[in-house]
Amino acid sequence: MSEMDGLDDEIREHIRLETEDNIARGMPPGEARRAALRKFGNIGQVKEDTRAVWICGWLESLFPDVRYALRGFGKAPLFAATVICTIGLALGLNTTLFTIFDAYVLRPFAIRDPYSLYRFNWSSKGEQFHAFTPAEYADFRRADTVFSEVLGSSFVVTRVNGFPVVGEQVSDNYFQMLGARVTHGRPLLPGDEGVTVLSDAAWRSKFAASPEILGTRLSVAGGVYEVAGIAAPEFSGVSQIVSDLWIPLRESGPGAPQRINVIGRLRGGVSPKQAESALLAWAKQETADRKEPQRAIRAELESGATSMHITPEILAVFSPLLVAFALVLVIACANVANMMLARAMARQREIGVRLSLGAGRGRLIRQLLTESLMLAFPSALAGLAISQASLRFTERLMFATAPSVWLQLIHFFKLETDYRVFLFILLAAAASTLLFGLAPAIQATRPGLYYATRGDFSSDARPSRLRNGLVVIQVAVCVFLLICSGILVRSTKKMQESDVRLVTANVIDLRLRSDTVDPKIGDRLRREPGVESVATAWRAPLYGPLWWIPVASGRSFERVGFDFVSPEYFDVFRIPILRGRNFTAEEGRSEAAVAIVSELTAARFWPGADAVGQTIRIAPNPAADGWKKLPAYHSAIVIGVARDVMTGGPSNGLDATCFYFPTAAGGAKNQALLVRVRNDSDATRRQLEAAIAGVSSDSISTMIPEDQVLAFQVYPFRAASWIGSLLGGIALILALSGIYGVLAYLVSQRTKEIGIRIALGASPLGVVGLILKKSLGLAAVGIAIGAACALGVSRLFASEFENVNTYDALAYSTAIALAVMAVMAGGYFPSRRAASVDPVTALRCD
Amino acid sequence: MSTGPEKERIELLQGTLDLLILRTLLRGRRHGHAIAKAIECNSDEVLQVEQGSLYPALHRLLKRGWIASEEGASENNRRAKFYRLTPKGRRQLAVETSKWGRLAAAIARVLAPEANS
Repeated sequence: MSEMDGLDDEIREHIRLETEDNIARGMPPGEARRAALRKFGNIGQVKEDTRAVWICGWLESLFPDVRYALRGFGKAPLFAATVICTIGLALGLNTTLFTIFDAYVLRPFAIRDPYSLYRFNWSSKGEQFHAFTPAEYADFRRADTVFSEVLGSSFVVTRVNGFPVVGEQVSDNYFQMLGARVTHGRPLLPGDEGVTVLSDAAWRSKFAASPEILGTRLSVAGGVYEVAGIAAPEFSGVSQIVSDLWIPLRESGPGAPQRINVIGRLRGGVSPKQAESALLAWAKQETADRKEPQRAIRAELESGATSMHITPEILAVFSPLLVAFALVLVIACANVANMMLARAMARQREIGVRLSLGAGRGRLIRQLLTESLMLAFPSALAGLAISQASLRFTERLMFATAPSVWLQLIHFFKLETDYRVFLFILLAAAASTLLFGLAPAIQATRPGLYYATRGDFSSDARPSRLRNGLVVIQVAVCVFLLICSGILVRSTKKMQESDVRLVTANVIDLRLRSDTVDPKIGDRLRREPGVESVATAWRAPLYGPLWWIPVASGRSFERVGFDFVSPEYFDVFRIPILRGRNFTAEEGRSEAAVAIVSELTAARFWPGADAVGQTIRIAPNPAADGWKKLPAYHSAIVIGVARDVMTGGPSNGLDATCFYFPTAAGGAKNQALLVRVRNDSDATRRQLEAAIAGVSSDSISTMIPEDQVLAFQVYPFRAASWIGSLLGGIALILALSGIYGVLAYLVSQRTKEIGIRIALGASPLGVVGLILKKSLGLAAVGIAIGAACALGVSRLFASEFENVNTYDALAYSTAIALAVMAVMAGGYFPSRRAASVDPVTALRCD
Repeated sequence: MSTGPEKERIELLQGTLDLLILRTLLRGRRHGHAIAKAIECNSDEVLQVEQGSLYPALHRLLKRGWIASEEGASENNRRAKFYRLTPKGRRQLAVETSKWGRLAAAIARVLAPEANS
């Protein structure tokens, strides 16, 4: 810039010298100076050009642009406020979603060097993601692999002081390897036994943040642990599940977990690819002496830095949500683009004059974009505020509506606004600026000079095509979201009302820590006052679709749903046996080769014949490892027919096929005790807990009323229908204001024409019709597009969920009616104004 | 100028002004007006330069580091800003000169047949 100093002097000196030269050539002084000036050229221009060599012209023109834009907004505060609110709302919603995404997918755990951590397991032909057994874990720790450090952990769901608690058994190097801090006491250290560290959240919520908790003894999962420390607030483990407490891992003996999650810290300089091949070699060696389906064929290495890893599956689950939110942002942008366009058109004369005076088009576009950007920035701030508010609201809503037992078990990551969220909102604001600012700027600066200077734009000029397109998009998105949310709301309602035909009230689903239910526990509970009956089952109902096996009655095998239940199961859930008989206690104990089938199964396998007494064949299935339980026999006799129920839960509908095989407490792999009590309450649950503690060393893992299991099945749909309705509602408001904006502009543009029509005798009603016809025409196109999209999407959903009705006439008609009403409402005021046009004023106005 | 004989004047080609300035400064440091005068005299007043356009060009060259400026006293002892060639500018002048030579030769070849006919 210093080179610029003295340019004025330099130029003055130049002209003086030239004048002197001219005088020397014999010119009179006045003439000499004029000639010198002429020869020099435009001094102002020269200075401008010289300055332009040193500074970027963009920056220089920025400040006047900003000043100009501010003055403009000052003159139209309502316009500015509307734009900021609209974009702020859409940005806020998207930021809310992004904050959640950030917390789970992007933000690393608060530990030392999170990006060198990897979760490791392997897959074989027979098993995806084989989890380590304690023996395999011990082998792996001894082996020298690509990991410099390895930790093992296993979750224990249990009850402490009557609260459900999610704890984690961790290897003794856990805290040191992760570099996790404690705020009180000390972390778990190598060699520790019988001590526990509480999470900050659990300490606050379950122990009232009392510092005296240190040193007290807690009974956790059948053992007694002394509280040694409280973890720092930012540390909540290294998994998707947030732990309440950590206890030392038992690698063998009673209380040892069956499976262990393994996380390692990669040695420096080893790439994940190299690590994968090294680990596969180890896993192959480890499984070399096993049967072929159990031999490792692939090492599964996954970054342990964040709680979720972006995979195609996760994206598929989140994509409907992402698309819906993005659509709201798009229509908000369309709306604002429309407003900006209307404003630019209203300023057409000004723009035209500036173009004809020689302003560059690029320069004008830049100015209009500066205006958009200046609106985007406060919008981003508004969006941030809205997202904060909506996050708090969502949290509160969830606590008010979600099934309570689940809330005690499931903890959420803290949702905080970090720099990633801030970056996101800035980028989104910039992107939306381009979306809503660029098109109007390009359109507005396009016109021919002649028309522009006159401010004359007929309604069939180019911009109106763009505006109409924007309105069509808005209506389409609005109708699409409304239909989808309508279908969701209705199917959720249907789901809530649908009769699963299992009487779940006063039934408690009780899980124990060991994998086989101690028969003593069942007997003890049965004697407890207030307990009506106690059943046991391999899989409790309402946890998703039935598992299947191939079964045949004639020649061909068919996949059928099945479960193992004790005779009391039908009594506990009040499922009537319609024909034949229930299992006997002896059949249950011996897991005899008999079966009870559901009505639909009977009708499918033996139409027109009695199912009772028929024999079925069961295909031998070799892969019965892990928790999977299969009949030990290859044929069974059907002894009864039970009423159809929805074992999989309301989203799966009545079981298409269901075979019940007998079992009893003490049968291997049975997961659940199902207890029917007279009156379910906290007191009852504590009573059951005490009763179990009296007879067995086994301890309760979870105790969940079946009512809540059922509620949890429906809850995601309820939440989705709320979100859908919210988005649909916002889309509706945006579409309404969008249509209003377009029509208001249209009316102001056609004031002269309308004036002539009225002067020639058109009735006010006719004028209103003229305007409304225009808006309804646009709406019709939008509605058709939106409905078609909704049809496609809901068919996709219907293929996944039983209760979704693709052709829900009510959802479609309501959505369309709402959209039409919004369009009419949006068109009403502008058309009223059109009808009240005074022909005299209108014709004089130009 | 209006008094001088009406010579046919040629508008400067884009970028040639830079070359002319560099060439002029080869003979030593000069201030703005002197550069303008030198270009005019050396070209027999055939090349028409709007003198003002010299300044953006000078600053362009300053920015590229091909010339440098310094304070000095003019002929009649007034303070003035002098421009001189830098070593970088000297190299650039060689490059530009040879480029110009090739261009001029090429244009001459293209135009030659028409001149003959």
